[in-house]
Amino acid sequence: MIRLFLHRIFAEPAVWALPVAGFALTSGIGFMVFGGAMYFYTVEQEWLREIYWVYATAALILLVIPMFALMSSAARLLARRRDERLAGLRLLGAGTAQLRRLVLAESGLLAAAGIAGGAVLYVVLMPLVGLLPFAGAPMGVGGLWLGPGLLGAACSTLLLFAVGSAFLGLRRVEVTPLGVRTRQTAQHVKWVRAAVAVGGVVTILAVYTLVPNTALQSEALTAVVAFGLLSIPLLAVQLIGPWVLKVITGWQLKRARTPERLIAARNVLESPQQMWRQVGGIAVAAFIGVIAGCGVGLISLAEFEQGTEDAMIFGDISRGVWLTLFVAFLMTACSVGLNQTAQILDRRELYFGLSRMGVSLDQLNRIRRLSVMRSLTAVLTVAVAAACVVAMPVVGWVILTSPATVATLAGVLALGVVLVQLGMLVTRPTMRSMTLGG
Amino acid sequence: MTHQLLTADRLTKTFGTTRALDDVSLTVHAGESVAIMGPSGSGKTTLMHLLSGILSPDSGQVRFRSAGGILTVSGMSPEQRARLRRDRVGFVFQEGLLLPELTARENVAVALMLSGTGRREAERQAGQWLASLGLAGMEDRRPGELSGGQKQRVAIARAQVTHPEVVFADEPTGALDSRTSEQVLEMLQGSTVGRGAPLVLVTHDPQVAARCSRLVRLEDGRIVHDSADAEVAR
Repeated sequence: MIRLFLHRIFAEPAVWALPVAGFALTSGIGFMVFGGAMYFYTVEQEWLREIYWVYATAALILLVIPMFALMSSAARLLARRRDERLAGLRLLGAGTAQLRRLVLAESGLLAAAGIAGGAVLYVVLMPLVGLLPFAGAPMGVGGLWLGPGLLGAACSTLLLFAVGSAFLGLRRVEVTPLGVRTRQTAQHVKWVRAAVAVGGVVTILAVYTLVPNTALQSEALTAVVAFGLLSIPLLAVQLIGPWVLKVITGWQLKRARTPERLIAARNVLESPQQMWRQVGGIAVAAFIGVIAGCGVGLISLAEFEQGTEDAMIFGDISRGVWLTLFVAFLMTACSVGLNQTAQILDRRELYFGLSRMGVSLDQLNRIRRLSVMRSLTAVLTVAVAAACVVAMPVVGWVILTSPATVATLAGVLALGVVLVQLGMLVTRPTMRSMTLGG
Repeated sequence: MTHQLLTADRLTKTFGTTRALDDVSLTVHAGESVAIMGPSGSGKTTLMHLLSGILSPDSGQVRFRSAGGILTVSGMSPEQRARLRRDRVGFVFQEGLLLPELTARENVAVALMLSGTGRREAERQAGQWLASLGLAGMEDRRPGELSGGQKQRVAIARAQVTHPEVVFADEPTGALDSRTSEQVLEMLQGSTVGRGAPLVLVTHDPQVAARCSRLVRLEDGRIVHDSADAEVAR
């Protein structure tokens, strides 16, 4: 039976095209980020390598969450198109184990096709991305190339993730002969998350304060503490984020005067975690981006002599900060696009029905856009405000002395918002086809 | 005879190579309940979609007569037809099609808000409709917390809250047990025909059809029986 289904899967583009494209995009971006990081870990000059590995690791940590969100979105899209077939097979008497085997085999096959596409995308884009100059010269294709070993390992990790997500996803739904049922009640976001998050931050600060300065002279311990200082607040933000989003959206719900805003707010409140997974990755990147960007702006006030090592390192750090922020936004935009496509497919009957009742395509798109963009705005506002408070002296000084840095920062954030809007735009044809045909 | 509200004249609709409707004419009068029956693929849902302006016919015309004059539905743009459906037509579907994230009150209020009514007033009227359909005290529940019959009553309230000039129902009791089905049908008829608006209902169930004042039977895209014609002939 499995062989029969797998044989037929690529005969129907509607089944495989979107999930495969999603995985191709995800893995393509993932390989490029990984390749970029490896470039910094293997820079020829040892003294530069010692400086760059810290920044590359920090950038990788910042990109882990948006990357994870993107992978989850691709896996979610992978799960969508199989529901009708699963229900049909259940009706014919297929057992749970048979369905599980089919889902795993099908997800694995589609993900493998997508990952192969991602590898092609990575190879095709390498000459373009390789033009970015770091360490005094363009990175080049050779600098970004992972090599067959690392590329194979990255492909296997992504494939495992896809199959694992499919397995977990199947456990969250009930396959009946009449369809595939998922939970419909609202998910609760508890204040305990906030308490755990604050506790985590306090703990790391306490550890940092209590460790004697002499111990910090050990390079390894410094690295561990630095990793903790960066990753624990990052995890704290992930814990507290959905709760903050819930509070802000609850306030927006009370003030909603139009049906679009009412539905959009309820849509976010249905599962703040899910919306956070789409846009939350940008919170930490924006937070660190504002601080680092202002730091870079401050350093730029010192006049570097052209062609010196200091000028080169400063230029690289500056580019690295903006590039990390841009990639985080790019991943968020892709994540939003994939998640929204999955949501449209999930709710196709509802959207078709609403369209029959006279709700226009524009109104349906406006509801979706409001859900995402208002959440993104809330997340960005909180992240930027928090960064301004935490690094008030630096930010304040940059505002007063380096308007160019403020303009660049605002420009990158605005470009990011536009990217996410583009992520929404590409889902419109799917929405149109759902309202036309159900 | 009450006045003609909806007139379909020689409607034809083809999907690919299949002729779903073939030269169908039908007039719906204010205050009557019309059951459209027929085997699967006979064209009953297509007829409902053409009458309500969801689809446009390949040939023929649908006219909607209201206080403002006669509107030729089949000649309208998709946007105009969407507006007509939103403001002057009510729909009840088998699956209910309620927004799962909204409360019962909000599901009903949204229909009014889409037509321009303010949220507070829309929620007040929604509450009244829900209470009149026996759902007092359940206004803040979400569809997932309601039974099948209760969900259909919310769908009826949503269809009625804008005071539409005609209500279309596609297998409105198809997913309900016979007792709940009877209650829902009674409420649907009471709230539509009871205020003088026509109810056009597509059904497979002869018991549901028997409760309507008129029966239209379709086969292979053509009307093969209309109880109104039979009555005139007698």
